[in-house]
Amino acid sequence: MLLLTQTFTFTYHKVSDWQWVLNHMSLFWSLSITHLYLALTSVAIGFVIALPLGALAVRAPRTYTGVLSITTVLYSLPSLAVFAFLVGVTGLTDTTVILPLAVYALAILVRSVADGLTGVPDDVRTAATAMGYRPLRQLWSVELPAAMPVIIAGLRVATVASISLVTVGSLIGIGGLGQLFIAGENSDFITEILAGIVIVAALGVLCDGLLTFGGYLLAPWARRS
Amino acid sequence: MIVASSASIGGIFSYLTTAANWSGPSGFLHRLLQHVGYSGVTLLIAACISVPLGLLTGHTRRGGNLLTIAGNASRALPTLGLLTIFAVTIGVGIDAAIIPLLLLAVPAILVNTDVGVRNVNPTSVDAAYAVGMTPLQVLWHVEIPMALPLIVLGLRTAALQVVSTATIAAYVGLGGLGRYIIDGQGSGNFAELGAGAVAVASFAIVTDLTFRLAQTLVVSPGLRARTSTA
Amino acid sequence: MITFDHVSKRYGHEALAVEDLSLSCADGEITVIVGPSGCGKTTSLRMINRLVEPTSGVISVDGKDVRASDPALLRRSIGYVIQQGGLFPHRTVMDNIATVPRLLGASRAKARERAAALLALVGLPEQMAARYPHQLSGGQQQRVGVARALAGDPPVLLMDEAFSALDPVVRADLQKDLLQLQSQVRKTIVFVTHDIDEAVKIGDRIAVMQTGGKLSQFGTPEQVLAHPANGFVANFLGFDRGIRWLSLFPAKSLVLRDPPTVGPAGGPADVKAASSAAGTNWVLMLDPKRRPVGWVDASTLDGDGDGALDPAQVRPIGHTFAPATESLRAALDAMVLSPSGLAVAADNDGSLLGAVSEDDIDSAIRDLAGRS
Repeated sequence: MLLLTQTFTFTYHKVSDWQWVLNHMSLFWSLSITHLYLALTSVAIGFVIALPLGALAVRAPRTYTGVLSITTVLYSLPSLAVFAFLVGVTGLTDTTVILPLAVYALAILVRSVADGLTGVPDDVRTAATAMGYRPLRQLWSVELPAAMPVIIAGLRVATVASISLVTVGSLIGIGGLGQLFIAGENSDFITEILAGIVIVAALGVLCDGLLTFGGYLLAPWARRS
Repeated sequence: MIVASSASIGGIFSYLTTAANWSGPSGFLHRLLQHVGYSGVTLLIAACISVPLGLLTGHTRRGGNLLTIAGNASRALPTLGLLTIFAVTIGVGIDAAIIPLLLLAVPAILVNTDVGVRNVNPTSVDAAYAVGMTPLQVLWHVEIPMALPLIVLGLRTAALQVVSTATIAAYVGLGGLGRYIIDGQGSGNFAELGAGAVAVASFAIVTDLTFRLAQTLVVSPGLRARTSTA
Repeated sequence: MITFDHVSKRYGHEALAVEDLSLSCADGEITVIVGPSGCGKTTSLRMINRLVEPTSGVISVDGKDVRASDPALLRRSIGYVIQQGGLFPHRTVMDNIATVPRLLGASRAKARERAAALLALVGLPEQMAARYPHQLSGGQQQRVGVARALAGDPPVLLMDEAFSALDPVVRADLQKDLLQLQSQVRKTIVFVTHDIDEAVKIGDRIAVMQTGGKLSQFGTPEQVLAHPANGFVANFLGFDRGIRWLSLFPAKSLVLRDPPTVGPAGGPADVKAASSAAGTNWVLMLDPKRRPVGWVDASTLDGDGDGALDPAQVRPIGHTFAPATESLRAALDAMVLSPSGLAVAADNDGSLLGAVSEDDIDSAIRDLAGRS
């Protein structure tokens, strides 16, 4: 309770800092672009690999447990540790951040794709095959659309997590909104940190909302009342 | 690049095996214990808050929306941001770290416990009332044992979350294995940086395995056929 | 005795699930509540152990209003078997069955002892005690469910579509075992089902409910089948309720006659001899153990051929019926399928007891119809 009031008093007193915020809009913009680029590229790569991997895992359940074990082990590694280790290998490039985040996204999304596809009722699959669909076309035209709601749910989680995790990269020198936290901490400037938190959270909410909306458009039959 | 990598790995290896690096206040042992300590205490406090709360909301089937919001919020709020803001307001050290640590651990346990209890097979719950169990007995003898796989999963997820956050918290003055990474970064000592990374990663894997083991020990064999390993 | 006294149940502002139900389930009897889905039968059952509370009216068990007791305590004195078993998946079979005794305060050892006894009672091997529900078949799970319901030795047993999810063979087995169990333990059982055949088979009394929660008729199976109270009941019983009604009467009331027979070694000449002696065309062929093998029509045979009978001339008997254990319905069915029009009666090991003609069966039916 005490620190809550402390926090509020501090922020209240820094009313003049609103001017600072307005002055740095272009900084926020450029940082956000870099940030989104890193986060969304990671998710995209993870997704592109997760789709065939998940589809394969459903067809061959034994590989599923194998794939899942590997991805969950990689997922359990703390992000800072992975970033730090990779700096020695790939240096201070985008790859250092995108590679681990893509793996994190992959861990979440393989699960979602597999769960979504297994959730397609057997009758639907059998009916499609009986109509004459070949396996690949059936996957693309029938099963994936049916699995869409679950996959989108996974994408939302992966995207929000990704956007949040990019900030950690700033500790080892990667760009993005995490810079605001480092700078703010160094100069004891709360407003800067607060701005960073707000923007990161807002970006997360925005992407989550866009994906949900996309889900409504792509899967109208799954809309809940 | 490959030459550089093998040189670095060599460097990391020698850092890890130098005896001097293991003793003393900045040694591995001390920092490992710190990390275990902070993570353990946080997890314990988070569990004491979240598990009863999750059991309550799951059993009474209320508050689901609030929990979804809490879950989403914990994912969206950046760890580093929370740590630095508390560091600046309260000052560096454990006090600053404890709130973000808890803030990020509680939702994982809470949501999983709630979902676990809420989604217990309704026929089994109905049967439990039918044989004459009181609501509390139903919770204790049927709902909790059947929700255990998810509850343990929640604890495991939270544990990994806490270990990861504690690592980052080294930046705001918390001890622990993350210090090697922060210091290594600061001084450009890649061997230290890498060694810290390896240490933290190993610790995370051990934590994960411990909880998986706990899951097999604690969850009834009767439930194993249906639950998928998470 | 379980009494429903003008019991109604309404959910929210919707229509009545149960409307003004008044019913008495006698002690030691199996009362079956039967009807289509949505007729309120399950709701009515669940009001007995207060899993559902009535909107109006009173339900009493042995004269005591069920609402007078604490619901949990009440339920410990009432056994309840559900359709999918409702077994606790995280407990072994033994611990599942021991649930109520433990709730009633028995020590773990005593409860397990009781569980073992019940396991045997429902016909399951003792190795099953350490298994988990997911390792059992549907029929086995239902047996465990019954054992669990009986563990606390309750005077009342409620069964909610308990056998509906099982395949016909397993189902018939369980129905038979239930009747046998009942002859030993004599509980007051209320059984809910949508299957009229099941109701007729196991019920001492049947309550037919129609959609909307109204009781249409309450009586013995004979009464209901022979005299349905209204169009709904008649429809629900089906157009072959007459045949069903026959299944309630034992075949041992039939007087058996001796058909003309011929042994396994018999040839056309023997058949013709037996046929003219009896004055009928059809002769029954028996095996060395006096078991019926088939019918031969003497009028289709050529004169006096010696030697064995052409197998093609031996027509199958359809099936036999056992007068000691089976019903008139079985006798009628055997008669329908018999090429000679005579139903063959056989005992447990298949050997011939006699035969009955269409007329014999017919007069037995007329007798019953006159009396009912």
